[in-house]
Amino acid sequence: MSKSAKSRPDPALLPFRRERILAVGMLLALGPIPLAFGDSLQPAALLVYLAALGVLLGFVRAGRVPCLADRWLNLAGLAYFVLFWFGFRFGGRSLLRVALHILLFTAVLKLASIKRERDFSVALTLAAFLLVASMATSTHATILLFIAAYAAVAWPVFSRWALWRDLAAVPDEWRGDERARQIPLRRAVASSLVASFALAVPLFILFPRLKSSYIQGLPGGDTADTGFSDTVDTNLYGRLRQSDKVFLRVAVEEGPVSEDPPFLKIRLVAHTRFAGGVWKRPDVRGRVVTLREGSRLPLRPAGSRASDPVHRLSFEIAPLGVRVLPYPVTAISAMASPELIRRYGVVPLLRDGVGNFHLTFEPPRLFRVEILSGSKALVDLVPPAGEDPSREAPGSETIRAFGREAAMGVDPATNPQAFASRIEDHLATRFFYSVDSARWGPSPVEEFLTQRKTGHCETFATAMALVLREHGIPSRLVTGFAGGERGPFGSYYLVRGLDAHAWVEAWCGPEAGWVAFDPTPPAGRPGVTKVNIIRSAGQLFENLEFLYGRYVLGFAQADQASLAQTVREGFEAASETARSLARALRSFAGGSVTRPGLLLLGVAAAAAALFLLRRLTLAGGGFRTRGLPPASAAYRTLQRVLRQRGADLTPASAPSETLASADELGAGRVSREIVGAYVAESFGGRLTPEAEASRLDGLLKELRAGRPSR
Amino acid sequence: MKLSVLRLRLKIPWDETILVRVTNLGLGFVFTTLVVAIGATNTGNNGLYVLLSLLLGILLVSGVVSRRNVDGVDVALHGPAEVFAGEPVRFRIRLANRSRREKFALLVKVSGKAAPLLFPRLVPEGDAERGVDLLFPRRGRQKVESVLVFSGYPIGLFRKGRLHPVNEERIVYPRPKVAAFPPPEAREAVDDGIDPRRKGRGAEILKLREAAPGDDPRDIHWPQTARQGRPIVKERASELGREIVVHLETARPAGAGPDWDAAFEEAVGEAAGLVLKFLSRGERVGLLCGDQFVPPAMGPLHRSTVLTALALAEAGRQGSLPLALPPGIAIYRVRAAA
Repeated sequence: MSKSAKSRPDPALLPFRRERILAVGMLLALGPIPLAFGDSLQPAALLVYLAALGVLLGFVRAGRVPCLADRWLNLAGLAYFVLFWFGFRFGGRSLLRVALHILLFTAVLKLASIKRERDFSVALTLAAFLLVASMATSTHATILLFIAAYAAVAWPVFSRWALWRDLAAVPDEWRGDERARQIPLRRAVASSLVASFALAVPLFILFPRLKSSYIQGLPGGDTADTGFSDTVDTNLYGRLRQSDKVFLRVAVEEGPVSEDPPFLKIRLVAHTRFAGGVWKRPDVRGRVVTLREGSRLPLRPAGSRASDPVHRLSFEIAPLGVRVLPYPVTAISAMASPELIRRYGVVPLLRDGVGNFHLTFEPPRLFRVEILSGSKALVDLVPPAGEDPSREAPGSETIRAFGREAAMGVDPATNPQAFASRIEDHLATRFFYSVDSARWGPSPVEEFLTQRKTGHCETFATAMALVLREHGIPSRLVTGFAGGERGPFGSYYLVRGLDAHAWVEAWCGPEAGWVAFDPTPPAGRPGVTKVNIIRSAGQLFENLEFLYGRYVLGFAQADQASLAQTVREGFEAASETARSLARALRSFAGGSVTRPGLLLLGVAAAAAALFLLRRLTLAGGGFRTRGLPPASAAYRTLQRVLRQRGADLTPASAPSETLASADELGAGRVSREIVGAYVAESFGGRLTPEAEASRLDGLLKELRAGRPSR
Repeated sequence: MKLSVLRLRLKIPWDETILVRVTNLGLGFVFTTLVVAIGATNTGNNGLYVLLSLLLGILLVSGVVSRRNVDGVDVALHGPAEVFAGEPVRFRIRLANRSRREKFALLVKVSGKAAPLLFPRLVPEGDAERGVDLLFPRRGRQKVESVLVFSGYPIGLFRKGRLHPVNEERIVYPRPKVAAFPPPEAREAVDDGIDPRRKGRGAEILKLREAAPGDDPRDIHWPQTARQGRPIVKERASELGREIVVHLETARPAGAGPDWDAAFEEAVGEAAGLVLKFLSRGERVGLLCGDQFVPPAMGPLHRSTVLTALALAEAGRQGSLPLALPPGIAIYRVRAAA
């Protein structure tokens, strides 16, 4: 025999080869599924992989286990270089994606060429890699469902794997026994998995976090994803309003919950500079303000009148794409959450001249601030400077003419608020709302005002702002949110992408200040929606997703410290309660009871409780009748009654002892009948008919009533 | 280095009787957990922390479940009365579950080289029994000291087991060899007028004689008794066979080597074959083996006695036949072929 023939193993000799290929195949099929739902893998690539795997496993299941020779593997490897180049060249040059392609390709080939035991080890290793990649790159809460499903599939696979390995020499022990093939039982798998998940929760909380939480694929400032950015291009807007992604969760901690709360008009960025169809916010300069522990930062505009707070709100903020702090137009002050303070110590913000609060730090994935809110929008009374960009008019006669026509004679110089109201009303009633983002011509605003008369909220706001500027009224575009979805469970609102909105703030004089106007037709204005039952379920899920993002993906050292603090406070509260109790006891005892005395009292009380419990158990629980046949139940009840009357009986006492005790207590006649029925039933195998069971009950009643029955 | 030798055998300090081995799968699982732990710690990726927590949770649960699966199991081994060397014999292994938890996938090994037996499920406080063929290669006292009950349940990360002492000691009889009957040794006939056929309860009447105390009244020959005026009984011949003594020579020649030992074993087998053959024909067989003499007899108990003597026969001491052997006994001599 040649050396190569000698060293070439015979795959058919591998024990349980078919079963093991199918088992590993299941894990390889499941593992990469979440990758296609992120940016890591194209769905098409996943489908091709699953199709190839499905065909392979189909052959295996049918008994035709393929085994590619080494030369075919080499050829496949060479061919892959071509695919690799295509993938890298046209697939976005993502190294992660390329690595995943190689992994999937290798997985299929490995499964189709199992020749030795170590090939199985390689296949399992690939399955593990795919699982780790999926877990590391997913940011969706459903990954928890995925991992639960994966565990539910993997547990039986590994359980059988162990058996197959141990029975390699005697495969018929497994194949020939129906009960062996049922291992593991579903209930055993379920209970083990539940226990594993329950253990995993405290482990997850307690593992030390040495670095800030990192989530792969976190969109930061990507306009295409969020729609929010430092600039507003009226040509690009529209995608955000179609997104139901949750950006804010507003919980009402104190204050009334209503159908149309004023705090759901949330201000994000005020833009003042407009050029070439794009709004830009002012340069980032202003005054540095800080959020400190225990102190509130005033948010109300400078010069505005103070207002009493009506609501205390908790704002949980998801990545918005811009580094500004969102706050409701009714906001009075803000306070950083304890976890934010723990993470940063002091939270610095930059307040510019148009009411934007810029974040000077990289915000965590989700962060929370507490906001006090009033009942009405607070008005900024700081006038714009002479050279302020909010005064820059485009110099368009078309826009100016439109303004004159729409205002119907109102003079903007003398009555700017009325003029602005007329423009607002004209646009809101005579124009139409659409999220169509078809490209505009060279003069989009003029085109909108004179021809199209259809647009989205940014178009309306832009048009109105420019009209006002043309007539000497300083104005700025404000983007934010203007609505939300009220949660049916608890007092909170979810603010989504489709609640995003744009409006105008116009300077209407020193008395009125910067007044907000919304020229968008009512059909295009977001509002507060109630949800039906189906939507409630969806909302619950989104709530969970939000919480998942905050408390799982974003879980960090600060959260651990916060949790430890909470636990410590809990212990302190419990020990304070115990001390109060001790003080109360001492004062009850006249102040003469010392600490050791109290301890002794506590021990005595515990011992007494245990003793009473034991008595009760023996008296009732020891003489259980549930599930017993009628005569046996009557016999147990007889023993219990006699014991209560002082007889020294236990459930193990013989019938003769029971009779003797009954005679001593003067219950001989009744007891003889019950004991006789019990003996006949238990030892004679006689079934007690219903009539006799009723008679025995009657005898017991007689006994309990205490009628003498010697 | 093969991966199999890296399997770790762990000792549990508070329970020395439990055997624990980490399997290759377990090693791989631990390695994966370590990799995930390093990745999670270095990146701060909470997705990896979720996976790490779950892997550790599974590891802990698997350890507890696997330990409980092998606890509370009693083992008993029962076998037949006669066990011959070199012949597979069916024993019964009985597992009893003393606990209130169901046991799964218990594997039983009676000897190190034997394939394991699978007990797929053992209900709470229930038992199960399976047959296992055991082979004892050599005669003599053999002991099955313990039985290993182990399992990789639930997911094969650990293989845990216990050695259950069964202390099943057996006398393994020599494997009977079928050989041509050697002729019995010639003995000088002693004419003492006694018919070489033995007395017994057969139909053939040997002779008539005066009745002696202890004679069966049914043997009274009434016509002769009436004629002679004294009780005369019939002495019947035995329908049973002869009396035989198998003489196994155990003397070891000087300078005998392993070849002689092998030949001696053959001789023991032949002696056993002879004994069993004669007993099966209803003959009374005795044995002289070394300095042990078993007088001729028959019956199951005697069979066991003779076979036991052969099982424990050792080469070296040569005994001699007792002088008081009754006449008519055939002696068959068996010796190790040189």
